Amino acid sequence: MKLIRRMVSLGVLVCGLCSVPWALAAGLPDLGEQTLTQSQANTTATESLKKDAVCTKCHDSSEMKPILSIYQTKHGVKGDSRTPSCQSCHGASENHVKNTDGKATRNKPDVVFGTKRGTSGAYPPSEAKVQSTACLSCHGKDVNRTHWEGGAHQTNDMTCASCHEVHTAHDKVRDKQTQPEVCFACHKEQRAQSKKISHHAIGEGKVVCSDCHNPHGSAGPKMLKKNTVTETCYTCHAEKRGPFLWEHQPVTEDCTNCHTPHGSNITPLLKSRAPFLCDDCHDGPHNSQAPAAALVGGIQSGLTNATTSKLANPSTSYAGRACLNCHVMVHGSNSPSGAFLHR
Amino acid sequence: MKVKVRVNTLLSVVATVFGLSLSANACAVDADAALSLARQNGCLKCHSVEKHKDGPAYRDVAAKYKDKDHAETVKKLINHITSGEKAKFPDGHEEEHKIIKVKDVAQQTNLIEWVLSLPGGVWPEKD
Repeated sequence: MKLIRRMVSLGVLVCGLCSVPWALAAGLPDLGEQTLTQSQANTTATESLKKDAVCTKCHDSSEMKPILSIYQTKHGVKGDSRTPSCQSCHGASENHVKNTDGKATRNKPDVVFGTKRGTSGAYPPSEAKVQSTACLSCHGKDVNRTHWEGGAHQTNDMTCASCHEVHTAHDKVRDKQTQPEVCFACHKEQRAQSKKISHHAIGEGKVVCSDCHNPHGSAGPKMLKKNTVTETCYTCHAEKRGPFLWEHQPVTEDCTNCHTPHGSNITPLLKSRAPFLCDDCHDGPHNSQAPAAALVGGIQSGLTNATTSKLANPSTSYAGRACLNCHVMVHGSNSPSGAFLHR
Repeated sequence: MKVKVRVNTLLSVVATVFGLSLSANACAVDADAALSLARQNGCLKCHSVEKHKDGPAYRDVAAKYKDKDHAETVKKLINHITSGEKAKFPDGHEEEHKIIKVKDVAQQTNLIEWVLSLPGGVWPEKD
C-alpha cells in the first residue's frame, strides 16, 4: 500500500514538472517581463509626478476648488504614459510659474478651463477653442467626438469644462443619477417636460440624456446618437421597428410626429389626445373634427340617421372617444387582415 | 446694613464677570474665519500653517514675533499683506506680496492675530 502511494505521488510530481514548459509555452505571464514593466511604470510615474510638482507646490489641498483629487480619476493614473500631467492640459505656463514680472498677480496659465459663469478661479477662462483643443488632443481620436466641430454645443461656445469636472473623482455628467441635472442647467424646457405625468424615466435614473443624444456632436438631428429620430428610438423600442406587413407611415417617418420625447401629460408621451392627434392627418369616413353636442342631429348625434331612421355609424369623436380603442396596432400590423391596424 | 453690603458685593462680582467676558471676547480669535479668509485670498498657495512652502509656515511666523511688541507686530504684518511690499522667495527672486482683497481692518486683524496665536513654531525656521 505504502509503495503504491509513493508511486502515485512520484507520478504526480513527474507530470507536474513535465507540464511546466508547456504551460510557459502557452503564454503564462513571464515574471521577469512583468518586473520590467513594473519598473517602467514606476519611472513613468516618477517623471510625471516631477512635472506635476511644479504646480502642486502651490496648488495643493488648500485650494478653494479640489485640485489634488485628480489623482482619484483616470487622468491621475501615473503609471500610464498616456495619461496627462498638469502641463499636458494647462500648458507649460512658464510666465505663470516663474512670474518674471514679479507682480503680486501672476500671469495666467496658458490654458485656463471653465466658463465665464462657472470659473471660480482668479483668471478668466481661455477661449473655448483653446480649451477644447487641449482636450481633443487626446480625446479627439474617439469616433464619438468626430462631429464636435460644427455641433450645437461647439457653435454655442461651449467647452468640455462646461459640463465635465475633471479634477473631481465624481464627474456628475458621467453618472446616470446626476447627469440630467447637468444638462437641465441649460435645457430648462426639457427639465419641465421631464416632470410631466408621462415621461422617460429620467428623474428615476433609468434613462439619461446621453442614451439618446450625443452631446459631443452627431450627424443626426438634435444631436441624436443615430442618424434619424426613428433609428434612435428603435435602439430601445425595437418592437416598433418592424418590418410590418401594414405600416403606419408616420411611424416609419418620425416618431415625433405623434410623440414628444421629453414628457407629456398625455400617456404615452403623446403630443395631443386622440382623436384630435389622429385627426391632424385623418379625416376619414367615421371621423369628424366638428364638435359633437347634445342637440346636433344626424350622424354627429351618434346613433341614428335622421333621413332613413337607420342606425348610423357614430362619430368616433363623440362615441368612441379614441381611435386607439379599435386601431390598437398603431405602429404597424403583421396580420394579413390588419390593413386598418385593427389587429 | 448687612443685606446692603451683600447686594453691593454681588453687583461688583457680576460687573467684574461681565467685564472679563467682554475683554475675553475682544481678544478672541476666530480661527475658522481667519483660515477661510486665507484660503479665499490664496494665501495658502505660498504659506501653510505647519509646512514651509515658498513662504514661511504660519506657526514659524508666530515664533518669530513671539517676543516682540504685539501691537507693533500686528501693525507691521497688516502692512505686509495690504501694501504689496516685496517678498523674497527661496530661489532669491523677489515678488510683490499679494494684497489681500478684504478691506475690513477687523478681518485683517483677525487673520494676523490668528497667525500670531499659532503655537509650536521655531525661528529661524526649519525646512
